[in-house]
Amino acid sequence: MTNKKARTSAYTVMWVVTVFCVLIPFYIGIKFIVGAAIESSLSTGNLESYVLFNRIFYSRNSIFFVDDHTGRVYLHIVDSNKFNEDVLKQLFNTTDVKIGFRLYLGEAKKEIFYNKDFYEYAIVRYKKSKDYGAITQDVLVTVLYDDKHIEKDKLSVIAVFEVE
Amino acid sequence: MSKLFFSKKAQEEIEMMVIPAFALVIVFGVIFFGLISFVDDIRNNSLFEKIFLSKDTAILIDTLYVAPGSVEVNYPKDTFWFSYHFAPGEVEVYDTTDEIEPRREKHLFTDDSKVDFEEKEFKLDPNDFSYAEGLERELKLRFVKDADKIFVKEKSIIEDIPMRLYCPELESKETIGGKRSFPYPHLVPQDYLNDKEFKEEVKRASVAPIGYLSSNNIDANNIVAYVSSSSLKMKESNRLACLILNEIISDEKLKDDISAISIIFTDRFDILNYGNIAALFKIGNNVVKSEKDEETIISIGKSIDEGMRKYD
Repeated sequence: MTNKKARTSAYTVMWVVTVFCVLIPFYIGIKFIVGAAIESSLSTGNLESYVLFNRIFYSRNSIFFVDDHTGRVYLHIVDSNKFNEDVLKQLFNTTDVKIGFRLYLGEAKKEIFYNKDFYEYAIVRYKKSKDYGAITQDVLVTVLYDDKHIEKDKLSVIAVFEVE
Repeated sequence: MSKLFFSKKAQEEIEMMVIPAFALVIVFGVIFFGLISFVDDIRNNSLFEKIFLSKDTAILIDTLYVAPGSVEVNYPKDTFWFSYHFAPGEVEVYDTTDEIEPRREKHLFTDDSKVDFEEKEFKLDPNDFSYAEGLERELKLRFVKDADKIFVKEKSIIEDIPMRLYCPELESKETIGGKRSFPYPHLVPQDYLNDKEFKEEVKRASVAPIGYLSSNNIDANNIVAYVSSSSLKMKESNRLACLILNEIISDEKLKDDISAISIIFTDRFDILNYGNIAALFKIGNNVVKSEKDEETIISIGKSIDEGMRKYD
């Protein structure tokens, strides 16, 4: 390092390293900011979570009674055979949305979950944190049992999700 | 003067500054042109539009899973020159005219294991696309949900296949020909639906297909058929509504203005609950532009009559 050539080479290498250490993060940062701007302008808010929430109520493969002929979903008649977690797992087979559900029948004292771990994690955080949101809906329902007898009940549906 | 640039010290200083400066220019230039290329990609509207289209179609499919009954939707947005791949749980949009490997923008949707989703790819051959002549082809997508199946098809430009609903057959052989039907015209103003005399007229009819012009701009290109969910003639009404919608959508004069048709079971309307075979058609105000659009109203009237004839 004492001779002139060595000093020049070292100096050059130092500059090149400096340039890489400064400009490459700068390049990555610009790409990140532009990418974030695109994501932000394409944000749909929590629309997907609301659409999935409505799937509980309107899909024929959900917990409600379905007329086989017309395909109509009776939104106030819960089919007790379908009130289970397997139905919810099939209803939301694969999803990218971070969402969890709790469905609770008050009189029957029966509850089922979808993505229970996430639900329990998010339910305690959504009131204090802007990172999580929740949708709730309570409806008076009739529960249809196997032996054809019916019971009045109240269905509470709570969805918690990660805010986009 | 010559000593300023040609002295030993000057030579040393030049070497120490020029070489690093040269390296700096090369590296900066490479990074700068890389950034310009990225920004140019966005500026060409390809990256942003691909992301938008993948997300929009994925959300549309999510909504189809929730939609009641059978639904067909003509995708209204510009699909540009992109290619599309629909698979269970995901939508991919890419550009086959990219000179390097096409970058695929993917967005996921939530599928239902009890609803079949047919995988389909719509790939544009880059040889079809001429930069000099502009856009040669635009893909027109149609999304269809029928019972336990969802699929996407291309609305063919040459062979114009109309969308159709699948109308259930009935066990009973009751016919409607010869029965008292609701009098012509079939299209009435919306405020008639609560009119007492009008309701009496509907009650007296055995068959009552009624249309009204919607004032809602959101449904401007849609036709929705409402059928009573509690009437004893629910199944018959459903079949009648289905046949009439198929006739409307097959009419050459009407079909281009219609983006979606659907049947909804509801208890909202009193006039559907008189125990007769009744269906209420909400016609979008881009389909029938106004109450004076006689030609379109007559076409709808003829479609209703044809649907009633086919019922038997």
